[in-house]
Amino acid sequence: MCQPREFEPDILETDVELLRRSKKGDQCAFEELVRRYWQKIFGFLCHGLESPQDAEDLVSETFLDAFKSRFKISDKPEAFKRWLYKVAAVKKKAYWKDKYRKPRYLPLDSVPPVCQYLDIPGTVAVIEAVLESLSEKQKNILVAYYFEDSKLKGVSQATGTSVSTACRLVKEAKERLNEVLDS
Amino acid sequence: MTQNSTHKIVEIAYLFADIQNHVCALSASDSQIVYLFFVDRLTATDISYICELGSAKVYHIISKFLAKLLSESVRFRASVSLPGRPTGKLCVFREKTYTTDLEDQVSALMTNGQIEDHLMARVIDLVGTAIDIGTPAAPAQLHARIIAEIFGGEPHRRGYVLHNVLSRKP
Repeated sequence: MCQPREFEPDILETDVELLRRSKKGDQCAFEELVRRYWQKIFGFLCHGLESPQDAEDLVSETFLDAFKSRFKISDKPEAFKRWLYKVAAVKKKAYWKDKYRKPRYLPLDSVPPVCQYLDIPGTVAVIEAVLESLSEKQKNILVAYYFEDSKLKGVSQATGTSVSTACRLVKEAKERLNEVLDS
Repeated sequence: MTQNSTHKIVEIAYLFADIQNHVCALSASDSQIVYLFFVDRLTATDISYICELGSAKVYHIISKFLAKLLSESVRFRASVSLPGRPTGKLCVFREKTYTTDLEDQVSALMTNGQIEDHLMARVIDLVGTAIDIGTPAAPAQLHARIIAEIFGGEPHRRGYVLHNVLSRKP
C-alpha cells in the first residue's frame, strides 16, 4: 500500500528514477511504473493468448515478478521496459507449453470398457481370421505381446532373439496386421 | 458532419479493418513481434532480445507483413502514397516488383534504414493505431488488482485518485 511520503509520483519522472526509488522501498514509485505499463503489457499478452482473462492473470504475475526482482533490474534507460516485456514473453511461452503438456483425460464415464468391443458379434472372429493370415512367427509374437501380456523381453526369449530384434518383429507384425485390416 | 468527412471516416474504418485482418492472419509469435514494433515502437534489437530471435529474423517478419499488406490492400497503398503518385520507395517497389521481390526490397530498406523517415513514421502510425484499436481493452479494475496483489490489501485511495486523474483525457 502506498504510504504518505515526501515525494509524489511525477509523470515526468523517468523509469530509471522510479525504479531507483522503488529499490529504496518507495511503493508509490512502483505503483507509477505499474500504471505506465499495465495496459501495454496486457495488449502484448492478448496477442497470442486464447482469452483476455488469461492475459489478465499473466499481467499480474509479470508485475509481481518485476516487484520481487526489482533489485536485479539494471538502472539503464529502457531496461525496465525491456525486462518487463521479456518476462511477459517468457510467461506467454510457458503458458502454451503448459497447455500442450496437460494430459487430456476423458471422463471415465464416457469411455466404453474394452470388453464392450469384444462383445460386438463377429469382432473376435475377424481378429482370429486376421491373425491366421499372418505368418506363424508373426502370429506368435502378436499373441505373446498383446494377449499374454508379455513384455518385449518375454517376446525375445520366446523367439530366441535379442530385445531390439523382438521390438522390430513386433513392429513388423503390427504393420502386417494393419495391412490385412485395411485390405 | 459533412458527407465528405463521413466518407473519410468510413474509409479509415475499412483501412483499419484491413490491417487488423492481416494481423489476425499471422501466427501467435509473428503477431507479437508486429505488435511490439508497431504499437510499442520498440527497435528490432529490443524485439530480438525479448522474443529470443535474431535481428535479421525480426526484420524479415516485419517486412514480410508489410510486403503482404502493400500487395493485398489497395487502401493501405493509397494511404501511404499521394493520389496518383507513390511518394515512398515502398510503393515504388510495389509498382515494379512481384511480392517475393518486394519482401526482399522492404527488408533491405528497413535493415539499412533507407526508408524515408516520414513514410516509415506514417506506416508505423497507421498500423500501430489499427492494431491498438483492435486489441481488447484491459478491465479498469486490473490496475487496482495488480497493486493489491503486489502490496497486499486494498490499494491506497491516492493510487486510485492518481490513476483517475492521469487516465482522464484532456
